[in-house]
Amino acid sequence: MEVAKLSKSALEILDSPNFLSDEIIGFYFTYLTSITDSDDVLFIDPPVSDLLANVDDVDVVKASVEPLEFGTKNLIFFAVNDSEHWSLLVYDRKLNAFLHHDSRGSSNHMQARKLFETLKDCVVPSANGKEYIKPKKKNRSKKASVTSCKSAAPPSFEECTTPQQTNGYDCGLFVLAIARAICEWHCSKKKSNANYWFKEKQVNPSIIEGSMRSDLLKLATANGIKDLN
Amino acid sequence: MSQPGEEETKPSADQSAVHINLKVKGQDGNEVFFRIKRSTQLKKLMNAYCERQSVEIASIAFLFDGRRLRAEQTPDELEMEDGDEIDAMLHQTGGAAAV
Repeated sequence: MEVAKLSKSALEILDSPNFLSDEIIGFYFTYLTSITDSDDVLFIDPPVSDLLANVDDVDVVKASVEPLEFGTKNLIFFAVNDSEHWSLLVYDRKLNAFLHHDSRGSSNHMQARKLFETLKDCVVPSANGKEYIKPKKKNRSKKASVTSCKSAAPPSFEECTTPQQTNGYDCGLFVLAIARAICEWHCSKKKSNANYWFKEKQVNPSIIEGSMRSDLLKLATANGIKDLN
Repeated sequence: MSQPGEEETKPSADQSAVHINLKVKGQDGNEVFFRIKRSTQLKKLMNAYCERQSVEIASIAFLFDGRRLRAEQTPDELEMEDGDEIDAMLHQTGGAAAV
């Protein structure tokens, strides 16, 4: 596990109400990976999502996607960007759906659809039959196994209800807060109760806009992300 | 590392064990070819690419196999093969969409 650090310019971004950069999103995704003890969750580095959303070359998609082993993951997080707005696209194998959370109406709908179109054929487990490859356990990990999807039916795309930002610069924070909440939901034991992914209090606009930026700054400056191995 | 350039002569079998030819593809589809030692940190390739494209190194993310490359990684440790392609993506920011 690599140690994630933020550059000086990224720290400056966090220090005042600026648009978040993909570096910061990637940093937090790495952090979430490090605190998630289940190996069936995958966070895609934002530039990779960007490449996948915008590339037409099937070979490039294949080369990028194959090493990521989507087929062994139950939950895959993608940051969507249309050059000025971030939103979150999550693949949930149990639902066999790509779920889109946009904190600003349906601003990124088209961009998220574009990414979905590229990815919809990539998430099916490559192994044939019922037995899918079991993900490797991390240290002290809970048992994780890939939930089998009902059939080889193509995944669907859904726009989900999402708490809305009230300012013009914090969408990146909403992406991170929602990703964290979904991740916590996935790793918690209550996950049989799948009616909701997150409670309102977990993704509360006033808390996100009020203190998440400084929390991130603290996380990034305290000791970065610990080297796990 | 040899000079970055598109007109590299074909390496002999001997050299090819030490060197590797890599292609960096920009978002505009533009391809730039490099030849570096397998044990050389990719920092060298990244710097050369950015210098050539007249862009800041901090503004580009280099991707390989679905992951972002780190400057201190080497072709050897990434098990890169001759002719492999690296994608160069401009970094993005976002705050909200225009209403």
